[in-house]
Amino acid sequence: MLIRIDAAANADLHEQIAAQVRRAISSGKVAPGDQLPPARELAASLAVNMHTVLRAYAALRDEGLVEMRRGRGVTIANVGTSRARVVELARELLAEARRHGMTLRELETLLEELS
Amino acid sequence: MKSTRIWLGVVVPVAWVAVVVIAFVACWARLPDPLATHWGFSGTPNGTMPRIAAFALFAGLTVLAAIGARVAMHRDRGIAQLAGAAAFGGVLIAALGVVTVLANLDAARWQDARGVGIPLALGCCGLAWAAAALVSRVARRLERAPAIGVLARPTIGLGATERAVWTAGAKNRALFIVALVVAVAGVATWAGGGSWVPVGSQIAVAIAVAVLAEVHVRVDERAMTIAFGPLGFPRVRIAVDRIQHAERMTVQPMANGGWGYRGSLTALGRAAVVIRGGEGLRLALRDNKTMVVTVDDAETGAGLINDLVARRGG
Repeated sequence: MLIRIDAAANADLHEQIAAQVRRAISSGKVAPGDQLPPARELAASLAVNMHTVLRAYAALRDEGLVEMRRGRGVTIANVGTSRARVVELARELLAEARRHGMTLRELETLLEELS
Repeated sequence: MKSTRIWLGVVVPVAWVAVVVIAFVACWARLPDPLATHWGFSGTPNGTMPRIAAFALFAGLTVLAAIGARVAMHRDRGIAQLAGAAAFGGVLIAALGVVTVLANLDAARWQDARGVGIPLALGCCGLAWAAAALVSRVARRLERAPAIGVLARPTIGLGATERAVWTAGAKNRALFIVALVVAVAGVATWAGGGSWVPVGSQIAVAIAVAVLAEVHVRVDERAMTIAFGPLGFPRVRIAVDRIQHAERMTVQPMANGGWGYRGSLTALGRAAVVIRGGEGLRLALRDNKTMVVTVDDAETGAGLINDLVARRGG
């Protein structure tokens, strides 16, 4: 799994890290059950604060892509591979809608109409 | 090229094994048991082996030499030396096997075996030497500088403001199972009241195998780290400053001398971490040393290493 971040880019570093892991999951570079690098190690490798990495991992957990268990580290969730692609697309959709001045409510209505 | 490999790696080795097997099988009933297998300086027989043991010894040694010849064909370098050495061993053993069979042929007891003098032994050596010279001469044609270095080196196009880390691993489930079985055997030996020597050695083997069943590789701005086993210990660290370039390669365990940690960076200048066959990463170090590690997604890892080396003014 390759994680690359760019301090000069617009997005926050923790968002960049989460996005990289998400891509690695959806593209199958990491499989369910695989462990993510320990936060401390990843933070040292990327020369970022450990809390930045933990924030990224927590976001991924909230999206249901990874599981955090004491003593077992952070592992890719069983549903991770299929779910990661959906989460990626949803984030893209949300960003695109915001760019065009669409509110969340309007987007929800649109999705309801479509389904 | 391909046909040369088949000739030197298959046809010739099979021939020297076949000579021994055919000689023994064809003359089996006409050989004494035990048969004479050693002759003194005067040329009279003075040593024996059971017939089946002599056959197993000659056949086994020629098969070993044949495996050596086969392995030689898969190497990048030193093909001629290894193929030549294998041919010398194979032909010498085959010739001595035939001489032994002929000397014992139709003898009622091993003491009645015909004499084998020094000239005949020297003749066998000469034949083996000639075969080795011929084989290594032909094998030299197979040795070419590997074309890999000429190809474009992998890159991930790392930008000047970007920071990156790559993690990957390789696992060998079969080795894990072996480690587990040995560990269970160790516990059983202990439960059965075994002394600490067999129990300790079984546990030590189980740990050693488990450590070599899994590897985790990490590349970041400073170094490539290879961590062994489920606990990530022991570790080998190679600083980016030490690396000249990296490339993806296909690892054939047999051609690298088997599984495990092969060679030594310090002593031999070549080392390989072989967990399984297949995709691997090769590092060319600045001091002309080579490090190979089997790992998934090696192309990405090699790309990151090359970009980091370039950034350091490689």
